[in-house]
Amino acid sequence: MKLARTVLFLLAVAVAPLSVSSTAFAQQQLESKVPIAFDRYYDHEELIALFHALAAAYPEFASMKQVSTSVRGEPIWVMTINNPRTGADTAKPAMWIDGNIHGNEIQAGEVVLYTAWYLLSAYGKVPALTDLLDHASFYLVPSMNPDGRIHWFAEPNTSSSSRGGVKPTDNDRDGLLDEDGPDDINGDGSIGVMWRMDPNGTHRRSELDPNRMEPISAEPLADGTVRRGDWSFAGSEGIDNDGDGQVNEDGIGGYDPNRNWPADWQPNHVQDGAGEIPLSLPESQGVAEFVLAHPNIAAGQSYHNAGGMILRGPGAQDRESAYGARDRATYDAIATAGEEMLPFYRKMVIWSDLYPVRGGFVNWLAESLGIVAFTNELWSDNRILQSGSGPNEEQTRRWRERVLFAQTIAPLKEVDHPTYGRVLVGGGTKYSGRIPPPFMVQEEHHRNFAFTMFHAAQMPRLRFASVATKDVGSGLWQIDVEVANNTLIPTRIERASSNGIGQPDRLTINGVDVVLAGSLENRFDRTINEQRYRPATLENDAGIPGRGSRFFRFIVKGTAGASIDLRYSAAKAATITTSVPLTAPAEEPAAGELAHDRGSR
Amino acid sequence: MQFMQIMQIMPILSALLIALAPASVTDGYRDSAALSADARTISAASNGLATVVPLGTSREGRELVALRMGTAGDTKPALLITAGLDGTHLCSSEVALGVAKELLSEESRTKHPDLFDRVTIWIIPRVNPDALDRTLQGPVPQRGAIRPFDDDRDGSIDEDPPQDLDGDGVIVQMRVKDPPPPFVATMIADPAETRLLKKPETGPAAKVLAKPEYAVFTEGIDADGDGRIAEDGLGEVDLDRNFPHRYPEFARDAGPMQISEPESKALTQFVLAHPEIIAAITYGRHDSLVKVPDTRDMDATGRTPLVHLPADLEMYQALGKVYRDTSGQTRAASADHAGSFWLWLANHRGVLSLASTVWGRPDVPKETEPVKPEAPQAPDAPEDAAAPEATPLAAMGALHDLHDPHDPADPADRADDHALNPAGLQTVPLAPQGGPRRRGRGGAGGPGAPARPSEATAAPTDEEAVHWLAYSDAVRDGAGFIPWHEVAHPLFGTVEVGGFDPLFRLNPPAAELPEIAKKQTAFLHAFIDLLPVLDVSTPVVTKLSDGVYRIESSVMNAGRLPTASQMGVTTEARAAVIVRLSAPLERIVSGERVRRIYALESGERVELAWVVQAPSGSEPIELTIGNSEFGTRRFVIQNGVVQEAAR
Repeated sequence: MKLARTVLFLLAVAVAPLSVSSTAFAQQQLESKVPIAFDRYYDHEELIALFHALAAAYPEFASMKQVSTSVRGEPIWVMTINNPRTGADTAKPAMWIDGNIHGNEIQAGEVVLYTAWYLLSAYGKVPALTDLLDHASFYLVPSMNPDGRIHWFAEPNTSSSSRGGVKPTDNDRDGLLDEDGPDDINGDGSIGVMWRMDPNGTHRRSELDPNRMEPISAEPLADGTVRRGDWSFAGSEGIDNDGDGQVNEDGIGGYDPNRNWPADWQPNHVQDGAGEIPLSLPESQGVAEFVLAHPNIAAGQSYHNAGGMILRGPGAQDRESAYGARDRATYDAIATAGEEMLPFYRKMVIWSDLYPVRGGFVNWLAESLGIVAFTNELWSDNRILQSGSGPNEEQTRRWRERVLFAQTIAPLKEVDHPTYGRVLVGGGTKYSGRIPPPFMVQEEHHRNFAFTMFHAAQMPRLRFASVATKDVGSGLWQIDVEVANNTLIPTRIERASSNGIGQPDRLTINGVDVVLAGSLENRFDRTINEQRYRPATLENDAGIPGRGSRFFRFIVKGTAGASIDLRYSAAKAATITTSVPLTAPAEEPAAGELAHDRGSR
Repeated sequence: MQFMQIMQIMPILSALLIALAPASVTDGYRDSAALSADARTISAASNGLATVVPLGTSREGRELVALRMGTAGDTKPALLITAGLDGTHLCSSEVALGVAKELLSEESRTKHPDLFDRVTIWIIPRVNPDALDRTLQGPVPQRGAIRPFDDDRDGSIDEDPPQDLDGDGVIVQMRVKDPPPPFVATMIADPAETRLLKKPETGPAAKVLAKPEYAVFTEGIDADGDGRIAEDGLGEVDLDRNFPHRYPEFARDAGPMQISEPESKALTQFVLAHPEIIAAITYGRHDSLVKVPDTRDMDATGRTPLVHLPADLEMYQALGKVYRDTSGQTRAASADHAGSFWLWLANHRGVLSLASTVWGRPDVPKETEPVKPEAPQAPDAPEDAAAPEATPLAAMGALHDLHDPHDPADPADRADDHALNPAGLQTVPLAPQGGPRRRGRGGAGGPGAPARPSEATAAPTDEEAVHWLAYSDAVRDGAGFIPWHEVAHPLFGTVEVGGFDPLFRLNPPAAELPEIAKKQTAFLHAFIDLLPVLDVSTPVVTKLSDGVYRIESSVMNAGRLPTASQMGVTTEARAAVIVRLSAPLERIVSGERVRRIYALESGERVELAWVVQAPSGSEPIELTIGNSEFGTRRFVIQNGVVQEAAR
């Protein structure tokens, strides 16, 4: 049944009319083998089907791999995008992009779809992206939490519910699991709010707009009379399913998949929703294994909604020291570019500008694995007025009525409630907040996609800036090597080098006997910071900085004309090699030559 | 070449030496297969009271087992005894099985006939069989679970392990007098006990009087030619540093992440699957009983204590007194508790959790006591249990001293510095090492950075080490300390090898194990007698009017310890006692349909009362009281009559 639906959907995709003209490239409009409309949202099945369709249409570049299985048995997919003609994905710096670890944050998954679609469609047509895909690989996860996404689309929800997963959890500590969740008692497909009839009510129904509840001031009027409303707020839509006197206190799941990661993981009494132990969720386990098996991941983006934020860690004040000055500068440079590319988005720090998070996925990438990683909180209410500030209540009402034609309003409806008697139930549909309306979806997708491409282009790209050989007498030659990185992200961020995360970079020389070798402070330094042992392979734990270079010197025994091979390798950069002859004065080196290391990783 | 020839004849020489040498520290200790066979023997002889339950397998495929002791059927509170997380702490496993035998013995069953009506006891005797077998096999003592690991981050794995240079089957220390550059001498022979090394005094006068003489290493060579000695041996993850409470991220021996090893995973899954475990004692290198850690500090989050919550401290101190009185143990050297299993149980799972080393430094007969070193050395350690105890690292044995990842000079450790030794224990300044103690060390710039000169004043004589030496000399025929002796070395020509046998200060002579098990069992009986008992009174039903009844009951803790510690309440990991009446909400005239009781102090009683409408012919009302720890009692009430349903 499910398969049949998928096939039908794919057919629909395949026969969609192609309106793209042959001069599309001149209009920045991409011709794709898989046309996808980005003025709508796709449920989980559709989303994954589109990923498979892209992988099928671009088999040379894209492949799908299941890395985890959810609580309900849904696969968690990773799409690898790589150009094999320029090397294996693991031999290049890679960017990790995931979405939808919170089930309700649906556009997060859709931006990842847009990313795959644009990148694959653009190769060979858009030079900047072609170049990027020749030098970097991508790991894309459309949904880290399929159960949550499926539940959000399929069941009555709010824009904020179905955030976590569906693993049964005893939230009210009565020994029963998930026995009292919200109920769609007015049958409109949404979970709204309830107002109970109350002669001492705090609200009354607006005469102008029956879907609005007006507060009644508790202050007596000038003549001493006290006004009273007819209705009082009664919480979110639902009944007391387990008869314990509380409503909606133990719904589905009840934990946060984005608090389950082994960076500053803390138990529930410190971090609500953390789970019993780090990686206690099946979804997390396979993803963690994949990430750990790919030390070439140098950049990360984990999409969420909402608020227009470009967030970096730390998630807690006591983790501030995890971001040293050099790393903060790297993050700031990228995020500042993002602020310009993403109107109404601001660069922020998770704990101080949002709220404390322990055990967050993006923190694990950044703080445990040394990956420069951000979380973008997609969509900002500031985009409603396009003015840099959010709308007030009245402006929101007008936006909903005049721009959205009231499509996100769930009208108030009077129904009987088993405990509260007569209640009014309604509010907004699950599409009423946190996500852009369809007509604004594509812009949101594209700008965020563009930001991640900028971020990916900042992954280290190395070159031998200079290799100078010099006869220093006594049969010895001096070889000075400058390794440069023109992008913002260093081969090893400070967090990695100061905590011994991963392997140090290595500069290896072959073809000569090394007498002495080490690093230099700068090109004029006369004292070698010597690596006394095993000098033919210089270890560089500090890495090559962003937009900078490092100098190394070898003193070798050799004869004029002998060819020497140099090779610089780093976990988060493509290996570079070059060969130079021992000649004096030094000839122009074969600088900038990019040689992909095939097979040694 | 010359060195290799010496190495070839070394086994012959050492065989001669061994014939003359005192009994080995490991004599009488059994390997993991023998221990699990013993668990099965215990089970077979127990008339069905004890069963062996598989928990999984170690990384190298050895079985992990638990021994369950108790009656079948009802849910009962359980006590968990865990041992052998540390592969060098051999005695913990032996004592755990010894305790099992004692608890099942005729004598114990007669004196405590209702023991297994009250509790179920789980014993996991050897969590880390791979390391245990390696330790017994020698020569390298293996503390952690096996995980091949590139300690020196040079791309090669486990390529420069310690080497038994003198072939005596024990890896100890190696000292090099006036070492060639770039190695730096940092230690002197302690004038108070010349077999021991210490840092020289600092300051201008001291520099004139005592210049550092020795560079000190783990017994080994520089097999990978990187200028560092024995810095990349068989990779290991210390299971007692692999748990999420104050997990020491990035420490060399703490694993790639929390609960990363098959052994720690199996242990975790077992604990999570058994919510009825309300109390635990872990035998190993942590002590929470001889000297109850008295810090009141919280960790960096401010919400989890370093050791115990202040509100729980008095309870744990009282248990410490019971322990000392029953076990007779007066000394214990404790390791730092960061990442330990026992504190994970206490502070993340809310279990009433204790830790015992089972053995401490014994007294030496009076006439052979060491001469008291002169002032300004610290006074002799008093025999009082509450006095500061042995330096924790010293107690670990020479090899682990040198490899210990807690480096107070290390910035990453410093952040948690105050957490390192909450019990107020001191750490010994470490000997300089070629190998990186943490992953962050080493790299470009040549050999492992020589130790920075200490800014502090000289370390005093290691009192504990002096006492251990005296014990070794007087009681153990010198088995605890290998005297310094010259050995050929490929890098240095000649070195001296010697120092404490790394297992000596952790493990008593095997002949003493049965007596230790007896005393530990005495404590367990006392502990079990103190455990909480949930006393549910049979409901009393009074008719108020036709079809209207008052139902009254109560729940009380008839034990001496609370049903949950304050930390148990804080973590919400302990099950609340749930009181539930099946009557529909609208038929309950007064009273709560569902009630949760999170903790009951000793003697605390909670009265329960409802008024319900139950007209004749209506559904019987069911009242259930209990939880997954103490079991649940079910009463059925119909027409004003109470009946208890089968448990």
